[in-house]
Amino acid sequence: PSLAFFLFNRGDLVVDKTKRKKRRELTEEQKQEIKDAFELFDTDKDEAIDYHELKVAMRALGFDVKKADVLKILKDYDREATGKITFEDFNEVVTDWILERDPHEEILKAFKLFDDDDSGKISLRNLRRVARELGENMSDEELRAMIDEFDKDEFIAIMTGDI
Amino acid sequence: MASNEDKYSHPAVQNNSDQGSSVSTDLQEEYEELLRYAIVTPNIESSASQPSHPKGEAPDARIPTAVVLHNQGNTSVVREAAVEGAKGGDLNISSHSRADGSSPVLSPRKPSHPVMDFFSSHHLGDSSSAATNSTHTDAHEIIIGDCFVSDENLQRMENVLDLWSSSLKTNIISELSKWRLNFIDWHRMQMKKEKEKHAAHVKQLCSQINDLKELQKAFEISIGRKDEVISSLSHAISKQKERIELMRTFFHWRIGHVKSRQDVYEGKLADQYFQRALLKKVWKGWRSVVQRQWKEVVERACQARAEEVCIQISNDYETKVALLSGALENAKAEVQRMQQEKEQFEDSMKKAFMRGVCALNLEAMTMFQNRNDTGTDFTNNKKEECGPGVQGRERTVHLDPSAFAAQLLPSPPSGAASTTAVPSATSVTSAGTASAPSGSAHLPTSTLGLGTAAAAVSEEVYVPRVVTSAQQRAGRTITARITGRCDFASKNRINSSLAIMGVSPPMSSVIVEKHHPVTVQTIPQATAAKYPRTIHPESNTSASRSLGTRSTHTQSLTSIQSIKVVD
Repeated sequence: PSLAFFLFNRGDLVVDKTKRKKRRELTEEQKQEIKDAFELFDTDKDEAIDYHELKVAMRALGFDVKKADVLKILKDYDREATGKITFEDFNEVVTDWILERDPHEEILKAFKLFDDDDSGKISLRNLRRVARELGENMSDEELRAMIDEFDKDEFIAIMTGDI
Repeated sequence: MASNEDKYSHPAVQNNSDQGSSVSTDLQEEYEELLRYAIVTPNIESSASQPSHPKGEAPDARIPTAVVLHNQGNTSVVREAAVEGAKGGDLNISSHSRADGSSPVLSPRKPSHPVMDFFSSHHLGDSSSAATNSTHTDAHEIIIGDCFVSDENLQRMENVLDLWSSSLKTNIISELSKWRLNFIDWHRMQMKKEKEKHAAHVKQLCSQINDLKELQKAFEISIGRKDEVISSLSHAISKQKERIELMRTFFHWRIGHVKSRQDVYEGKLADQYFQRALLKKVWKGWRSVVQRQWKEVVERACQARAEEVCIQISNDYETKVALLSGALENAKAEVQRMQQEKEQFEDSMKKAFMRGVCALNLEAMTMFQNRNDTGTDFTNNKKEECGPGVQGRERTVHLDPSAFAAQLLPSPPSGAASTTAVPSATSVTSAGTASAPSGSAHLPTSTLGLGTAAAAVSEEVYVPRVVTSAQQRAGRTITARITGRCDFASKNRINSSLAIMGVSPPMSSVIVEKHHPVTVQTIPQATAAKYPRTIHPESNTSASRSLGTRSTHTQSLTSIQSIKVVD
């Protein structure tokens, strides 16, 4: 059954990818990511965030925005002059931004996060640390297998497909 | 002393004169002066010469009448007399008295003056009472004088008056001096009192001043304190203000600091969040890569295993198939053997049957030629005879139901014969042929005990029979082929179970075919019709037994029992 499931899953993934490329839509994961970031910084839970919160939320999604940019966004979307921006507007802005994200750049960033000792390589030790940070309970064999069986092209394909 | 008194009295007189400017007041003054004199004298008398008083008592006793007179007469006279007396008496005294008497005159006018008070309270009361006395005496003497006016008396009067005036004068003087002394004493005392009073007052004032000074000092001190307090308070306030200012700036700075720190913290938090999300994503991706590879490995392993299992299973089935085919072969060989046995048996049976039929036929022909009318009964009897004759006893003995069926089966042909009512040789043939199926029909029953052989035997059921019925008038015969078919034959073969055979009737259907009457000329056609598949037509008794291994062919190619040629 696992085999069948795998095959099915794979086929689904391919279909999903082509569809996304065509329609330029976010995956469910990305939508959830945006929602999480918004809710994390909407401290007063009024479905709207102010300038500071917006800036931080953008940053939480990996956009190192300038003050002027944030102010511009706020000005463009703050129709009622409340100084706040609603989730719908935030979603709209961020969706565009996320679609313009460069997956290779993302992977590079991720690599740096893995490679915290700047050795240019991800060692077993790095991997173990990351696993611990993420709360993944994995044996050393598994981690080693991850390093041994790493396929760059496939990895990038997955990441670009996933992202 | 006198000057002192003068000083004092003078203003008093002046005052007096100032007040009384009119004639009436002058007159009143005069009167009062006189009255004062009158008053003073008795006073002096009473005070200076007490013993004289009793002496004056006598004239007093007469006073009432004199007074009445005086009252009735003219008071002015009395007054004139008194005035004249006074004028004539002593001018000095008048002047003197004027100076002196001014004070008593004034006394009623100014009762508030302490000195006058002193006088009036002390002496005027006295003098007033004395005055009445004196007036009494005066009036008495005047009355007397009126009564007894003489020179001598006048002289005496003059003397008395002189004496009186002198004594009056001295008395008055002494009295006055006494008054003066008294007054002076009183004045001194008053002065002293006043001085004391004044001193006390001054002292009081002094103390008051001191008090006030002290008060002032106290106030000054309090004012000083107040100033101090104010200054200190303002100082404190200014200090407080300064502090507040300081605090404000400090807190402003601190708020800014905290805000900046918060910003930094939020930024850090956001970064961390992002990093974590990214890490998670990448981790998932990585793991999925690895897992995919693993999955491939697993897939391969699974495939290998599946193949192995398949081979195993196919091998198993192969052996099973081989085994079964062996069994089949065996069974087939058995069937073959049985078939041969059965053929042998059938052949021998047919031979016997045909022999019997021939013999019977001959006999019957001979009988029919003699008598024509036995009919159906004969056929029935014939059949009855035929059945047991052919089959032997075991049928009836063994299985009654099958025997019954066997009896029934021939009935259609016999029925046909009866309906057509042909008691000819044809009917005999029909009976004869009809008996054949009956015989074959209960073959299975007879072979029940034989077991497996039954399957092979049952095939015999499908042997078609030809029943030929002849119509008497036309002189023709109608040939019909009757085919019995057993539906369960194939089943029977496979299962080779006897139970089914026992339950269901051996023959489920009978086919009756109609043929043209066969004549000598039509023999080839008839044979051709009867043997559509067999190439070589056999003799009327012989049945084609081209039974191969296929049992189905046996059914389809069931042999023809007979072809009757009817003339």
